[in-house]
Amino acid sequence: MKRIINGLFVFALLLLSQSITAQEKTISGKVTDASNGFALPGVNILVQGTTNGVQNDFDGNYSIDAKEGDKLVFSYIGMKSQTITVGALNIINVSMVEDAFQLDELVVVGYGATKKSDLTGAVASVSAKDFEKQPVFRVEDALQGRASGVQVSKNSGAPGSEIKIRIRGANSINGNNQPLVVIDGVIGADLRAINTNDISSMEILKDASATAIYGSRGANGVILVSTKRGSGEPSINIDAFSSISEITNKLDVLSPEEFGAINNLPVIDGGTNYQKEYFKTGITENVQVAISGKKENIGYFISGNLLDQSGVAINSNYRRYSLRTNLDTQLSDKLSVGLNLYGSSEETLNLVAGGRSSSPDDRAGIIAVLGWDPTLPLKDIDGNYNLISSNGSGLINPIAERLESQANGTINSVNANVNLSYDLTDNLNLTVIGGLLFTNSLYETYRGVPPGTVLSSPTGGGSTNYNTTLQNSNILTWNKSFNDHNLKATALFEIQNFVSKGFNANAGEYSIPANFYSLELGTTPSVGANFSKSKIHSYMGRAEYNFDQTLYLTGTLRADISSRFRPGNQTGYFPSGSVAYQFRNLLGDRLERLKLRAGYGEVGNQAIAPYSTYNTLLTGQNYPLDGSSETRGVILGNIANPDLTWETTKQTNFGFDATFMNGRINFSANKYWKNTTDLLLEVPLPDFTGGSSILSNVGEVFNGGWEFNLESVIASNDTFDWTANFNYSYNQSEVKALADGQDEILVSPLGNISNTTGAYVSIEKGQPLGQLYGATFLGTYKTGDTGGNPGDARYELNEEGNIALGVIGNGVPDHNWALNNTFTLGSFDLNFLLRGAHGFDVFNFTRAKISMAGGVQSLATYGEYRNRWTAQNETDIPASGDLFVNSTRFLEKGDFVKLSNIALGYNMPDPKFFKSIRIYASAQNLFTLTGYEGYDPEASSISASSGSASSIDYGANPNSRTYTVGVKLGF
Amino acid sequence: MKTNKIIGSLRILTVLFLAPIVFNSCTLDENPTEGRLVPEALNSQDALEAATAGMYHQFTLSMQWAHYWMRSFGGDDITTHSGKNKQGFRDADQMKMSSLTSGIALAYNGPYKTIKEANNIISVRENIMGGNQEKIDAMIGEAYFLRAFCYFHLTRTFGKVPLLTSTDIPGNTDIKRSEILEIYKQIERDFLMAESLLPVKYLGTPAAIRPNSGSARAFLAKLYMHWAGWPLKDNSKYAMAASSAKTVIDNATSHGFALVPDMGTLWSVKDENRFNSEMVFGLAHNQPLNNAYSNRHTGRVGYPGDVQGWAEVFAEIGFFNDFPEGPRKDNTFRTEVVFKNETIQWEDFKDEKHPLFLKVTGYQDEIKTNNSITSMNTYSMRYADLLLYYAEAEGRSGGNSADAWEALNKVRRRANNLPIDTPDVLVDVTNGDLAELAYTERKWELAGEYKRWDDLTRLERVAEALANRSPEELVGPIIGDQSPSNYFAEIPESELSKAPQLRE
Repeated sequence: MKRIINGLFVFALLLLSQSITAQEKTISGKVTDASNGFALPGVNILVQGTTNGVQNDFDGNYSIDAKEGDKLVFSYIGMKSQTITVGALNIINVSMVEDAFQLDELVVVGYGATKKSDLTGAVASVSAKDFEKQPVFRVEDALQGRASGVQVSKNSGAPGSEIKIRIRGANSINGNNQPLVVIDGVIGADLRAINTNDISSMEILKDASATAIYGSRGANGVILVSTKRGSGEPSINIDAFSSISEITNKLDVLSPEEFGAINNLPVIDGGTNYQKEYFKTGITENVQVAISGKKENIGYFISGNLLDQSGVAINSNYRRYSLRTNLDTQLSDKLSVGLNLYGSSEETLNLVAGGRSSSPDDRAGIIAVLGWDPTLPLKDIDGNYNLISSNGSGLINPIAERLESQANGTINSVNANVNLSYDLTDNLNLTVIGGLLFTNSLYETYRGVPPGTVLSSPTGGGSTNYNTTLQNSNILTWNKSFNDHNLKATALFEIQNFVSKGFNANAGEYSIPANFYSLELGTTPSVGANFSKSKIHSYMGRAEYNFDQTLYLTGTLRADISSRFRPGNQTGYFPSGSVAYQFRNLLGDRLERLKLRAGYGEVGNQAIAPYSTYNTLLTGQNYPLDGSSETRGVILGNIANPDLTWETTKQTNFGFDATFMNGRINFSANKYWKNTTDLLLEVPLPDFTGGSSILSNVGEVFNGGWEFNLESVIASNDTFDWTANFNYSYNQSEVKALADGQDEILVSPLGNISNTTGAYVSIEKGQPLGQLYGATFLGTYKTGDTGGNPGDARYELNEEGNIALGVIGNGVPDHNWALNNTFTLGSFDLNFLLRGAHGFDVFNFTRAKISMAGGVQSLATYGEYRNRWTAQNETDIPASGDLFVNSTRFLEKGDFVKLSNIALGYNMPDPKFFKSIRIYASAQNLFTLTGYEGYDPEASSISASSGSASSIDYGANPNSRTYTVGVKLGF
Repeated sequence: MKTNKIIGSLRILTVLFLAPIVFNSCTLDENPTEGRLVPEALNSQDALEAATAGMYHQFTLSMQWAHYWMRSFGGDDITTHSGKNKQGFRDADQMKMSSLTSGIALAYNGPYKTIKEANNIISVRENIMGGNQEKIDAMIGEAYFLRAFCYFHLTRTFGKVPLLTSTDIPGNTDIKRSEILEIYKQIERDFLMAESLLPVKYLGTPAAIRPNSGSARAFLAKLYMHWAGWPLKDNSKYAMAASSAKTVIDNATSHGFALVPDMGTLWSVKDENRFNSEMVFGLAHNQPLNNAYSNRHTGRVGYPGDVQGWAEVFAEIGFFNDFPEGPRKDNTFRTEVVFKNETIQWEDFKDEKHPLFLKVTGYQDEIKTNNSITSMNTYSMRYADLLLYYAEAEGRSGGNSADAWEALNKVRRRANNLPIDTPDVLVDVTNGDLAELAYTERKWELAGEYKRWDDLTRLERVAEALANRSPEELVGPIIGDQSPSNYFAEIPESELSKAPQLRE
């Protein structure tokens, strides 16, 4: 390692030894707007390859010192940059042309920025103007449908729930598959906590030639978030909107009368429609205020956000309060300092497992809403809840459970970072970033009617956790142009330390009903604590070269040293290289630009928990050895694997970008191949060894696909504008290898579920990820059939006469697309976002659970049961026999098309007392075209990070339809 | 000037660049002891006690649900509901189990979790420093005992099963099933080891809820009974069963074993009844302490839906009708339930019509009909069980000792609420086929305790017993093969998919 450090110093010295001697003169001129010939103020004029730059004045005039042969770069946001070589003349006038796709915009690529037109890797850019016409308050929503190869799935409609993001499919079977999030250079923040209004742009690094600079954490792609900075005149912006939401459909279940008639039960007081009682109208209120500007050397951006969202399920809520201050100051012509301070406080109410479930136990929540005894009224004649039903066996009144449940989460976060930039010479810059991420969470739970098999007294418990991440990044950048040769080199040394500490206290059952804060009433209290610490040290070098903006070469190497692995396995090297060739004005303005790109890179995944390579003992395994008082007990924890190492993804990307039709159409295409080796896989251990699993580096997964992105300005004139963006991606995965001698691993991503045939997801060599595994349903045994009682469920048998099990579907969509349109007519604008996913199946376990008796459900409630098999009417809907939840009977096509957003806005022309007034109305999920029988084909109970499966609906919270009205005011 | 600037810059650079290196020069190696409990901590008597508690925690979880004895629903004494979510129990009841039988994994996974902890405790024996050697030995003995107990349950339920006694888990994931003889020999070695290490009576426990050396010997007697019968049929083991049982009976007082005078008190959850002398080994569930320690195969599961029961465990009608009248019948069954101030006779149950086992429901004034978390004892072996094993083994090994007849008669007297040790001419039997008399006595004495299936299989009498099934049984007639080739349950599919080498 020392050698690398020494190398860096030699490198730095070499750069410093360069000195500049030249004959300078003063150039002046005027910059105008080509569309109208008026002066264009605020244009940046820079001598290329130096920090020598000026801004022109209000009348468009400028003057700058330069020498003959220097290149002057004229740039202005929204205009195409121009480069003009200084010749003999001392006056240079420039006319700027509008740039529809902002190809000259600087985009952040990690540890630096580059022009969009100079990119060599697959990088998608989403800027605030792309989503400002959508009333979004979650960053993930702002990303949805914006970039090809970036799939944002809202698997849950619960307020505050986790949102799944996949960049070019899932690589890892057990590791986390969510992309890395970097906010203003600080790695690892939570997107949910961020105020969308603070974001100026997001760059999504997709291929490995772009992500390799993040080394061991870049395998799932990287989302770089840049927050807004102050500039120009002071301005105040206020944005407020209100929404109402409701579920899109209700499922057909037996009415109280039907259920009563089938099961010979009396209907008491008309029974209950639980869906009606459980789902209500959700209300969202969102207010954002931002103040920004720049005076002399100080730029400021200050914002605040209040969000209050109640869910469509009763007694659920999410609140967020946030404040941001971004300050920039130029201390001298060489030294500038930026400070970003962000604090947020989030509150969740009854958010279960990040929104994946509707109750901590499937005996309550949505499965019970659909499956509980409808013949009972909510309350008995004495006004007490009817809690248990002899007809619903293990289920508990889901309304009572939810209404009496107070599961409160409070998450306070601070994201502070300071950014120090010092120009050592004209060509050499040192940037030092210090970052602090602090998240403190407190969960308080009091359940007046606890879910479970047993009706019990109220229970309570709580936990708190402190997570602290410290980061220091030191970036040395050297920039130099020789004639048409442009060179840039970056060196990085970075450290991140992570500490997590917490403890929890559970009361067990309370002696008398009370509230969380009377925890000491618990009759079987227990306590616990947790701690983990890890570190990562990184070195990165990057060299970028381009010849006259025609030929581009980029090479990077990152070395990461992680404490999570044992010595010998700690260091991972992640190289990448890319090349691009740009043709300009190939067919005049008709094909203005064509860039061919190719890249290769290796990235890693260190997604194992600290101490994973060490065996540990598990506490909390007490037992009353003497029959009456507990002795503290321990058992063996999971079996550790000391040889664990990085999971590595090797990716090759070919692509091109073309701008044609007079700059009106921009088309990008990418083809990629990803191979992930040394997969971090939880290999299930046989039950005869005590069960559970062992984390191992085994096997290989391939992902390959296509991405297309088409942006176009269909119409653009004084009164009417129409821009459209269509993106499409196709991804196919294949398991290339598993552990030695192993062809298939069966896993249960949701744990053991009663009435499955065992594990229900298959990972098989030669097959894609996300294979759904189970039995093939063949209807019912009819009178006279052999092999089963008439009316029994019938399944396909194998040669030995046992029920045949195998892969019956796949839960990962093959095709994803989105179409985004914006029309502007005078003061009005209309935006809509249409989205689709195709080629996947969903396991509808929710329907399975209510279709037949089994597990904790003793009587069927699903509407279809009306038409069940009887001796008189021998249908294919079983009345008895084995219920296999994971069978083709409950496997459905998940394909859907959704109108994700439609928004109509009105910008008041020349408002009095305001700079701008905008009024808008919008609707989300106005319609969904799907054949799926459940609430929502996108709703899934699988963790957002999981790679082994998706699309299992087991009491998942459906997305809602939302109507919004709002106003934006500018002062 | 320029040189100075460069040197100045270099200084800044050096400081900024080196500062983090200096502050972070400490190692990147993890120290698990700062935040985890490491296995090396198992080096003292106290730590061994914690590991023992952890092993029992797993053990009690494994025997929490009726699914642990699911295969025993094949016996002629126990049945289940004809519908609801009881498909697995019906499969067993109708002799049509498969690897996909719902819930059978609960009979398989739990014992192996206990075995994993037992293997670990046995392996750390040499690491324990200091402490009281007798107490340390006792805990090591318990590990041997529970390991043997669990393998015995597994092989009786599934036949040939994988036999793992090592703590090397990654190196043994591909082992195959062991032959039944090999498993029996391992169980025998473990029970013998347990007997040598365990105390005569466990101090500090109010009953044999921790095994003593007598418990180990009593289970050896049971092991030999099964060894002598199907599937190994080594008749020579009857004599060993008899002598083993006799040894325990001769030392019953020092082990603390005796019949309780009133059989009915065995199903009471009052402390004075829970901790009784009749338990040779078993679990004293303690629900008030924590639901994890509760008994979930009794209480609510034994009641019909009419009274909010879960309708899982019922008495078979034919068996009930054949049961000899007398105090023992009253102490075995419930024929009526008081619900909402109404007394309902079993014949009037709508959901469904079955006599109930008192042994399962418990007493209604102690356990409500909708209570599924009770503190009723789980009797893995009662002293009555051992007495009858002795009498039967004596008979089958050709013996005819007075002690064996006395053992049988003690149980008969208690069944009739008579003083246990006072001979009674009306009740006592003194001649006839001792083995068969004892065998039949077991049928009645141990009804509903999941012992009948064991007895039927070891003598290959399942078909004979099931021929007596009442046509009124709502689950319906026996569908599957009743021959010994269908006695064992199949290893669950969930396991076969993880360990395909176990497929047969």
